[in-house]
Amino acid sequence: MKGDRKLRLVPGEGQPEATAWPDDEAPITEAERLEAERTREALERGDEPVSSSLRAAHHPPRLPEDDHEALLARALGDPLAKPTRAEEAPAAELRDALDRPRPARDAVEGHELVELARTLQAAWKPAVLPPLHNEALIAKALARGKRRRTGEIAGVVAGVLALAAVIALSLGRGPDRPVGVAQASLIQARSTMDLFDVSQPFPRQGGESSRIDRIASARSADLRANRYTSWGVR
Amino acid sequence: MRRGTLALLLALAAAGCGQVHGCAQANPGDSQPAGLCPCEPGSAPVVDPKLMAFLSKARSAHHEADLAEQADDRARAIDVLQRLIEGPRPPPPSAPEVIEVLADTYARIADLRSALGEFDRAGRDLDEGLKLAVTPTHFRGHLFEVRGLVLERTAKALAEKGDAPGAEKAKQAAIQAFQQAIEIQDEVITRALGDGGM
Repeated sequence: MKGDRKLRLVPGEGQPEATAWPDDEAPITEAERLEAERTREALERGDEPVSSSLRAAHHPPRLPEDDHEALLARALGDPLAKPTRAEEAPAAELRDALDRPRPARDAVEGHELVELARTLQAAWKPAVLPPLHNEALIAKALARGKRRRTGEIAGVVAGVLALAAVIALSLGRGPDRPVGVAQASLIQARSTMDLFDVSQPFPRQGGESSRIDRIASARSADLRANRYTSWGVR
Repeated sequence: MRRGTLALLLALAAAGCGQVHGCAQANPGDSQPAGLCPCEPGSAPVVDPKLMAFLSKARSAHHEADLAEQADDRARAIDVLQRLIEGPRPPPPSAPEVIEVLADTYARIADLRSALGEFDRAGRDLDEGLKLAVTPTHFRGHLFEVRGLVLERTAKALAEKGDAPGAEKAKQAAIQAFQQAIEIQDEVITRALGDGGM
């Protein structure tokens, strides 16, 4: 079937490779050959998702120290936490793609952010429309019926409103402020007395550091749980 | 454009705008924790990064004070803890954790001051701590216990100066403070054990 990946047995080392195509198999289409080629290139680059996931699960690489620190800082709410390497790579790729002149940039395929940036650029600073093309568009639009034009305008207005609402929602909430997380589901601040043996009053002198150690550790776990709740992770 | 699609877009626009507008109006101070929609009314403090930042700072201050005490530098220990007391705190409403940690810190400062002979200032620190720890907890009981300790030291100092009446008065006040501490601790234990403690 077109688009499906086909598997076949590959002889082991020292065995002659079977070159004959099985009789009951349809011949490889051009699309399948191209897909196989793309998969092979992705495997060589190391960005084929399935094989990358399997490799990571089987032999996970060690997390670099600075990435670890960045993730920890972000989890603890530091808005100025450094990006991880995994984030820096696509950012650099996007920057390079945008720095390229327009024709070369158009040649970049499959980069969603490049497409988005291009669309935003077109909306913010559209290219000049050739006069004849403009007149042709106006004439075409005027030739349409009034009812249809009204429907289109209403559709455009509604679309713009929906887009504005989505953008406002995205800008209005930070990365760790998902809307709709009820306060009741978050762990509340409370007395620390349940962290101590109630039947044993505090010693007359000393012990303050061990008490604050216990309080900070317990609330650190609570904060982590609240973070996960706010992220929707259970 | 189909009517259904148009209606869906309009509904999305209305819902999105309404949500943004409503949340933006409520609680502009944004003292709520991450993940809490600020338009929810009646919000109580939750465990958030601001509380955690305060607790981390308190933890560091007390450990630094430990090191200063080990070096027999009580003045430095007091200075470190005083900075915690006077420093920034999470915005109101105050979390119980903040109140209890500050009360415990006041008690430690009072202990340190009284060891240096600063009995009056130690008493004022304890007053401040008791203003915070108003509910019967071991933190409040500990403040009274330290008050008894401070008064005990006061009595000893006065006796060494030859002020026998003053020493006796301080001694009686110390006994009273220890009794108050015991009463609070008993109340905490009884309440925690419930009927089983009777």
